[in-house]
Amino acid sequence: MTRLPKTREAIRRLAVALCATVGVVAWQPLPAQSAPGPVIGAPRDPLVPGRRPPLVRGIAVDERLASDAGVQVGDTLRLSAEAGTVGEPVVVSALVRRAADPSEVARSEYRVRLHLDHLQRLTGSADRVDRFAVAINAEAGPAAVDSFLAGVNHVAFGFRAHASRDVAVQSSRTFQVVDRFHRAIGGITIVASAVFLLCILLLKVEERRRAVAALRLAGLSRRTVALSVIAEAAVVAVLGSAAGAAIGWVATLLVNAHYQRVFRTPLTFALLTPRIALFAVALSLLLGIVAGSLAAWRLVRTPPLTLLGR
Amino acid sequence: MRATLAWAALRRHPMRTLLAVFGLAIAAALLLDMVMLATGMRASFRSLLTSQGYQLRVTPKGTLPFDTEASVGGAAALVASLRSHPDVARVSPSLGTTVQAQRGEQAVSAFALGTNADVQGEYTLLAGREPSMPADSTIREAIVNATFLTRLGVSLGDTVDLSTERSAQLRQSGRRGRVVIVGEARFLYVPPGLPALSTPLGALQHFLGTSGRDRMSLAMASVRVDGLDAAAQRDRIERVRLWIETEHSRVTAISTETAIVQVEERLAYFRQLAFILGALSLVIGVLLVTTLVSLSVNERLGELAVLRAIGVPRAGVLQQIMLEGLMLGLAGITIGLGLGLVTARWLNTILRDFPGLPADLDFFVWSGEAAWKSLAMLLIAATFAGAIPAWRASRVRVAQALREEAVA
Amino acid sequence: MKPINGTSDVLLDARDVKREYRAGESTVHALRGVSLTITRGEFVAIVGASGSGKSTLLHLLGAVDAPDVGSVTFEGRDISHLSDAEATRLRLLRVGLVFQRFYLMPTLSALENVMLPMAEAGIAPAARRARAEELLRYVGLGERTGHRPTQLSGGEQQRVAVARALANQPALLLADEPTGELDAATGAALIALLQRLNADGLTCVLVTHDAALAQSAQRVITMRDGRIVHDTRSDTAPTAGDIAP
Ligand SMILES: Nc1ncnc2c1ncn2[C@@H]1O[C@H](COP(=O)(O)OP(=O)(O)OP(=O)(O)O)[C@@H](O)[C@H]1O
Ligand SMILES: [Mg+2]
Repeated sequence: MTRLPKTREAIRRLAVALCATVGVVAWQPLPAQSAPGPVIGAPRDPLVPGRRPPLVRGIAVDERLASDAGVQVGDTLRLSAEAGTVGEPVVVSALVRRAADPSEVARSEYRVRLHLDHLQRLTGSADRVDRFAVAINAEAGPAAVDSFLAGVNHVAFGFRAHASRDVAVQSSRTFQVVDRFHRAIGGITIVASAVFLLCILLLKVEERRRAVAALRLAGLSRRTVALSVIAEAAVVAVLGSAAGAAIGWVATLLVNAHYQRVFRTPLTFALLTPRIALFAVALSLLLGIVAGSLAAWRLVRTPPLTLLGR
Repeated sequence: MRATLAWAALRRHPMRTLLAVFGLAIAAALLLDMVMLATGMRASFRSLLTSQGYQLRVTPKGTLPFDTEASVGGAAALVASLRSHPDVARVSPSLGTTVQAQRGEQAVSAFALGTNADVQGEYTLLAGREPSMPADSTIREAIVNATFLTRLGVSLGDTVDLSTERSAQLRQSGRRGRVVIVGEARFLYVPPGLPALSTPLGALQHFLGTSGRDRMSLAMASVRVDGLDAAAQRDRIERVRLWIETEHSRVTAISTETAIVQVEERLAYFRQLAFILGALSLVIGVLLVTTLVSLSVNERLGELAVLRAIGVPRAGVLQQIMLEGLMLGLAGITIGLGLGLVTARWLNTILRDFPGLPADLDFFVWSGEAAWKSLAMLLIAATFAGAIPAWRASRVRVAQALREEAVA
Repeated sequence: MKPINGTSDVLLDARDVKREYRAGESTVHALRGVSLTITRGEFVAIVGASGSGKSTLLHLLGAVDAPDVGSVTFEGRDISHLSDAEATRLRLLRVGLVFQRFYLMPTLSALENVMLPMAEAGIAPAARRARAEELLRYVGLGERTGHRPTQLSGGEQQRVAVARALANQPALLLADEPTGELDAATGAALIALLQRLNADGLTCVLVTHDAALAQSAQRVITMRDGRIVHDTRSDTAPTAGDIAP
């Protein structure tokens, strides 16, 4: 199937980048009347390797395809590598759920899983594979991986070996980009909300100018007045951000519920970690103190009569 | 006079006003960015799809253009059949595959596109000329993209070896050929980092041997729509589309509109993010203006009562205070416009780094109408944010407020 | 600068006017039935102890407030049941108000403060500027037109307030303790200004604690506990010269 790894990879990422649309493994359910067709061989467990291939091969079907096409375990489908051809009958022997893998998000195409020999025969690509996965003895340590790679690539003739971690880095580029985007948006939002908080807190303190004037006239020192103003702003900021964190937590629940439904994945989309909550509270505390100090500085430097009279 | 009063009220507390304007500017920038994001990808994708005038894309059944390496056989007959439809003006078949390109020690794997220069809608020629179809079988001429040139260290006029196998080291099997680079092109749908080359369709089919014989991955069809209004155009395209799908069971025909709708579905995340953040920035803007104007109104209740006492009508007070919101909004939006464009450009460069995206696809696209609408919305919101405190101020009981002012 | 003369001699007529304020359980009877007729060209001083209802009465006369019971007729028109818009229009065009604390717009210059009511009345910018400058010259502030209220003394501010009250050529000038915040000399100058206006034909009604100001009036109305207890006219109207310092 995959003789074009670069293009395919590019296109897969295009999809992950939410920019292409559905691709379908050619599949065609048989007409309804033949749906509960005869089950031959060992339909419940034909994917266990090493067994003799049954007459009608079993396939595993993606949960999504199953629910969208109304396919159940035991149903007989026709499977072909070429659209428009009749294909061969196969029996659905298992339903599979996709892993909570971010790279699976937004891949809305359906999948079926076949035995290697089955797929090779079906697609006419006898004895061909896209890749081998090789496990190195765990005791050998990470250095063994490198020496194995070097050894393989030295004699490689028509293929190349990569360490899984390098592949992971390569294939996570999409998520790095999304991550960078989220960070950028997050940065902008933080700046925006910081300015917003600063504005609101300053205005709220300004609102108290008459009270401050009264305190000053009553003989309280600038220090005391300033401290009380700052303390008030800080308390308001902390209470506000705590309430905000609570709202945020509810929002993560809604966001997760929504996107898990939309993308049909168990993946967690939004996560409120204690660190994030702490960051929010600390940031607003800081802003509260800054705003309070600014306002207090302005208020205590203005003569109380000016504050009152205007 | 009301403008003078409003302006004077804002100038009375410059620090406050500046902060509010800055806050509004950020809200406006965020709103603008989010509108650009929400509408931009769609617009960008649309212009990408429609740039060459093809409204229909015909692919192996159930696939999207080049989404898999699926191809259909009997390409020539299929194309002939499409061309026979009276409403079809042009058909451009193409075949995509990956080849190994080598020159000296340098080797890269490149996307090879077989297409016919006279009808192709895949690339625009930047330099050199279109490749010609060789009389015999092997590929003779190709055009390539800039990445191909730099990655392989070649230039126009150079000769490059091609093979179908992943590694050119493999000698026994695989098809081999040799091409002269006759032109440089920008490939519309190929990611900028991917080396690409294009040859005439027949040449590529032949080069691939049995696996390429009379096959294509995609045919783009242009439907005659001259002189039709939008609805009639859509109708005719849809009729042709249905005709193709009923006539040829092995293929799927997708109209540009459908493709865009499907893209929209995939873009839901960005649109929703944009919607939420946009709404949030609107709320922020409104809250800011409301707080500021409320405070300023509370401070000035006496003054406003005096205005009412000397004969300024309720509407006058209302107008004056809403004018303050409007002025704040205008200032904030003006600054926010610049700020938004700068951040949009920055965010766009971040997202353009997505591996595998066509070079011409943008996430943030400036659209005068969208920007105008969103900023007008913010402006109206800011103006009406002042309305609640303004309304309260305009309802002030004059005699009562005069007394209170005397006490204060 | 002669105010327009109406056909009738009676400018203002209050008939058995009552006004009470309810504050929670208790009710304050600010006016317990006041009747009063003011003819054109009169200079009336309302005096009385604090809390006797002077300001309340003045507000009713100027359509700032409405009576609970009774009627107030101004230029032959019942103004005790006006809509807010009508009352506002009346105050704008026919009544000039001067307050103890001046109440100028702090953000506007003297000239702009005087132009403000004219702008509201829809007078063309050039005309309103010319008239505002003329009024400020009339009150002796021709050189200070560009100054903000904070840059003016109390007496100067009050004169700007008088100029503002005159902006739309009202038939009636109402002043609530106009000299209350001024020292004796400045107060006297203001009284002289008001007398000059009255001599030009403007009807003036002032509330005052200021004995000098009360003496300068042709007619002094004394209030106590929400009622008029004395209403005395001095037949020989004092001239501006008599009370000038
Ligand atoms: N809003 C109100 N609520 C309750 N009582 C009020 C209110 N306004 C005025 N009063 C009362 O009405 C009475 C008359 O008040 P008014 O202001 O007319 O007195 P005044 O003669 O102007 O006094 P002063 O010379 O001190 O200005 C007073 O007893 C006052 O307490
Ligand atoms: Mg009073």
